[in-house]
Amino acid sequence: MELERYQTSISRDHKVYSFVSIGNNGKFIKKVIFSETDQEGLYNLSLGDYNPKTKDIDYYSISDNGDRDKILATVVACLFSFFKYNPKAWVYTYGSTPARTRLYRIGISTHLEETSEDFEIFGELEHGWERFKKDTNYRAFIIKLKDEDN
Amino acid sequence: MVYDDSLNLGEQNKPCQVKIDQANYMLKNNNVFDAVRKIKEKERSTKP
Repeated sequence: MELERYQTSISRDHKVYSFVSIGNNGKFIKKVIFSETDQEGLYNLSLGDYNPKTKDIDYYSISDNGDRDKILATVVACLFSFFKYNPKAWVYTYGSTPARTRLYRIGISTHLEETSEDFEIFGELEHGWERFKKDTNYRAFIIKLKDEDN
Repeated sequence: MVYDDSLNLGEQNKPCQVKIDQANYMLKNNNVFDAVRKIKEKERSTKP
């Protein structure tokens, strides 16, 4: 079943994505940004609300707009696009708050793990990394495309 | 998806520096490439 998601705009370098969340509390411009970390080839994914008045992105906001699943499905579409243009990249992500990290876990469980055979997903626990399992509280995640050695 | 030149990295599309700094801190002494390689090696060695 095709998941409902928002129409998305994309930057020329395929690292910034934007869409408009429409729901109970109005319209919110969401931005998904992939930025390189200190480890070469490893990108951090950030999701935030863009404020057109201040021209700032709030990475801690809670819009509570009643469209969580549609937003998560849209972020997954952004991941597919990012990997299409950066197939060797690995994406590292964690929530800006524990609630948001939990949201990412739900998003991965619902929209990524079961809907794609293309990705490998790992979760970080206090003592190290393991393959992503549902219902486990991770502090961060790694998402990458499967490669030849799988 | 449609291209939008206003999204090219700039003042209006700044990544979250706090999050990147935090990510780099969490990744310090934590090479994820090595960690994943070790997970795969372990999986291969325990495959029947």
